[in-house]
Amino acid sequence: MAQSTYQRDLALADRGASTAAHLAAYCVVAVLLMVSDHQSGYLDRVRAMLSSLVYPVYQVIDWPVHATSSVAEALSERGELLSENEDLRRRWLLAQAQLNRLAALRAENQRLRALLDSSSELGERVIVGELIEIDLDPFIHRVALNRGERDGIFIGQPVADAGGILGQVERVSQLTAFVRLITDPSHAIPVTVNRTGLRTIAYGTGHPDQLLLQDVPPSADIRAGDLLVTSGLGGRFPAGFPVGEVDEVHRDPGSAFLRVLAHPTAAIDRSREVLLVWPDQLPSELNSESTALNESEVP
Amino acid sequence: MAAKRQPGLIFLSFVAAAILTILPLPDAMVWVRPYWMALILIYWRLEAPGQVGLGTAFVAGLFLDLVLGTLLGHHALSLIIIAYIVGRFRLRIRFFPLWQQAFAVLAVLLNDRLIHVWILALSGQGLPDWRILWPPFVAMLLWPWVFLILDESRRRLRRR
Repeated sequence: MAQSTYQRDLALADRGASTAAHLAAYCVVAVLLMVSDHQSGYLDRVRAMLSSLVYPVYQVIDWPVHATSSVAEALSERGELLSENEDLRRRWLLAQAQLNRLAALRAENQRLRALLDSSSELGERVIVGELIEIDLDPFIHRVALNRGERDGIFIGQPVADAGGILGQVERVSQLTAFVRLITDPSHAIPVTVNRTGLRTIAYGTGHPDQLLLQDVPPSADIRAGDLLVTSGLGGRFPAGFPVGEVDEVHRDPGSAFLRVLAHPTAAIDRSREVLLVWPDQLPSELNSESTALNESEVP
Repeated sequence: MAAKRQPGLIFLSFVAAAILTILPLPDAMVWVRPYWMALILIYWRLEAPGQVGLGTAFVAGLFLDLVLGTLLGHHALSLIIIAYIVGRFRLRIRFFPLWQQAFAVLAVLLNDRLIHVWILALSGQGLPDWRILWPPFVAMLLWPWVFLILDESRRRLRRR
């Protein structure tokens, strides 16, 4: 018995040692996969199909989080609910008032733009998505959402929360989407300084509360507190969404550019519900919608 | 060590590793999360190399790539290389006492960090900082427990 075990072990060890050719073959396949996944989009379909296989894994993790929050809701006290309700009602009222004002402004803006014959519009279709409670690689700023191809999500789609732009969709499968956040070191977003109209680019830094503007000329008018909004250049993000707020402006006499630090206005590591935005809606639909708005809300 | 085939346990352990990989942790702890998939793979490569070969490592890696949304092939490549190295030195590593085994695991996983950084750099995803070296050391400390837990579950299944 001992003898046969030993022989089998030897045979297995032999098998383990003779797999150098297998190793090489598998490595080549893996590298080819990576290259084609990186360079071209035709693996996206395969990935989208296969990703349905991993959805149950997400659900296993997400379920307890949902369950605890619903249990907490069920157990929370009546008084607490009442005060929360009160608070929400107040905020809703405030938001409604602001919205009404904005609707009037929007209509006016639309009329002025029509006069100027400009095609730039700020009206989008959105759906609400929810973050899946999983942790990905902490070095890469990315989150997973519970919306996928089924909901019409596409690669490059802008993602925002109540505060501003959060990131863009990087990969999409049937039921889920991965979003690269604007704070990821590999991400850049075209912005404009709301106060002056100065156009520049905001880069991610790898810190969840920091963006970097490194192409601003020293003569530019920019200072702490300036709001950065999307410029709409590049065609990926629609114009006019808040992105960040300038914190510090470093003037280095030896450098050809300013070094401007900003923080994102979106709650990068805190939002749970996010908006997925469709930037290019047909102008005709938009116009009919806005005329409806004109009739109902603006005297 | 009569090698009774246990595909169910092997499959379950890999799925558990995938779940542990993305389980939400407090912010301070995400930096020390060990490479669970690699730990499980090393165990099976040591104890059941006939059932868990390079092919299994490749499939497990692709599965992890899908779960994490990384480049298809990223973790596949990393796990194949781990599987090969462990298979190559299996007879030596297997008869080490547990604490020496843990050091072998550390060496294999440090080597893996190199491959990881290489892939990130070549695909232009930005270089991580030194904190990327934490997980192998944590894995080393966890190795004896992983080994004993898996050994015990195998023994119980076999007895049944």
